[in-house]
Amino acid sequence: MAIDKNSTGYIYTFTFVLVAIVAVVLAGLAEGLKPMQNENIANEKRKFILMASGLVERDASLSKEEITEQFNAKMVTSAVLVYQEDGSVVEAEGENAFGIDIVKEYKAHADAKDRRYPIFVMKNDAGEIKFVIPMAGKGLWGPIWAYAAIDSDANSFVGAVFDHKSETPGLGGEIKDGAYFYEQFDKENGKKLRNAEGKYKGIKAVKGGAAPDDINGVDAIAGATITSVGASTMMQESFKAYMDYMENFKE
Amino acid sequence: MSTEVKEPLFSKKNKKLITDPLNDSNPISVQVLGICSALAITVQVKQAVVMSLSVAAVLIFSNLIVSMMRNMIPDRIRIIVQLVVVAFLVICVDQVLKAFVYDVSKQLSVFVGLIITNCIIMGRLEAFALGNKPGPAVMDAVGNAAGYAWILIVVAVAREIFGSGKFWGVQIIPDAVYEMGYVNNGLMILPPMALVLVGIIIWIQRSKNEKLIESN
Repeated sequence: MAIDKNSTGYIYTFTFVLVAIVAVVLAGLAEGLKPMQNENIANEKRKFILMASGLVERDASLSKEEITEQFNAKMVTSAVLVYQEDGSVVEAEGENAFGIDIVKEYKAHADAKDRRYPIFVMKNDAGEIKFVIPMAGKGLWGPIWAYAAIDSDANSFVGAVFDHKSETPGLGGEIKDGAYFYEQFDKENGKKLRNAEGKYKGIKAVKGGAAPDDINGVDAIAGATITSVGASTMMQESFKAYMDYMENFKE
Repeated sequence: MSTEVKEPLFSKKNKKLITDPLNDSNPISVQVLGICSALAITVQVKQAVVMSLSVAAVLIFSNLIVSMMRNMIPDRIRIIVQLVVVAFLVICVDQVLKAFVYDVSKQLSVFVGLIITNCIIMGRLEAFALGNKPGPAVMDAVGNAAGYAWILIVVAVAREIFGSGKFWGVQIIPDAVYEMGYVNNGLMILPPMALVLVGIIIWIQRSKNEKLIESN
């Protein structure tokens, strides 16, 4: 049985069969591994929330079970906030804050008033309340997102954890990996949501470096202008919806 | 198929397939292939090991698959067929990493996807797997993967120890040394230092291995 390997018919048949096999195997593999991947993503989210609020050290290596246990033990409550017609913000009923994919939520609703705003209220061993707010923004190549923790005064930063989909390692990727960037949000650096007069400002990433006494500014990342601008916009806009909730929060 | 078994699998010639790439024809230090990943993901040993294993898995299975299909692949589209096989395996590896070692897969980020363009893999497929039986093809893949891995791991060990004072994420340089004024070498963390280290390996290898000493 002699088949001409270079005949057009053979090439088409060969390609078709090969691609069909590859497609079926890959689809099966991706579906089969999906539950485990989703579990990993959920677990990372729990870890980021714990890290931002200072309940877990950044370099701590905890197993999945330990993270889940810590998270469940230290979370007081969680809520989902929505804007009403008159511009006030209320807590939505029957929503699962943890289930909201913040990147998708920001992408799906261009208008900030249409979004759902999840918030997690954590409590440390000393009984102090920390609010953890997830947020998303635009990087250079794809979405960036963060978990920012605010102290019980609804004003002072406790810490922040950033992450990104596809920023360049060493440049935009520094929002996640560069300690010099994210440590600016640590409690001892005294960054605040409001300025000295009590007006809401958020946090701005300042090109060339923020003034040492600027409580509403952090140093931007050199060589990553677009990512810094994205992070800056995110840190200025995203807290607005939460201010009332945090200020009026009672256990 | 039955008449093909004439040469034992571990004959002298086949053993050379594994040992040659470790030294005489090392994919990184002699052929200078796959350099970009060697520079990018050798900051930590753990990353380097996972990357080496990923490349090894892709290389071994792609060599095996292409070698088994070598009599069916039409010559005119052989490069595309190789690419499909490699891309398929890379996606498999990526999915498996995401499911089982999520942290590491995030650190490796785009570099797992870039295994597709790793010259070592296409090079071995084109140069060896297309013209050889599956047995030797697998051995060739193992040899080349090991040759790639040892350079990566040596570079990563040096960079992690001198750059962060750690090995496998655990601090090994005692605090007392830091108190005496020792500081980590920040340059070690940056990619250019990996190039320098690979250069040093090539230098040592070329001055020791007579086969590689050029006459002029």
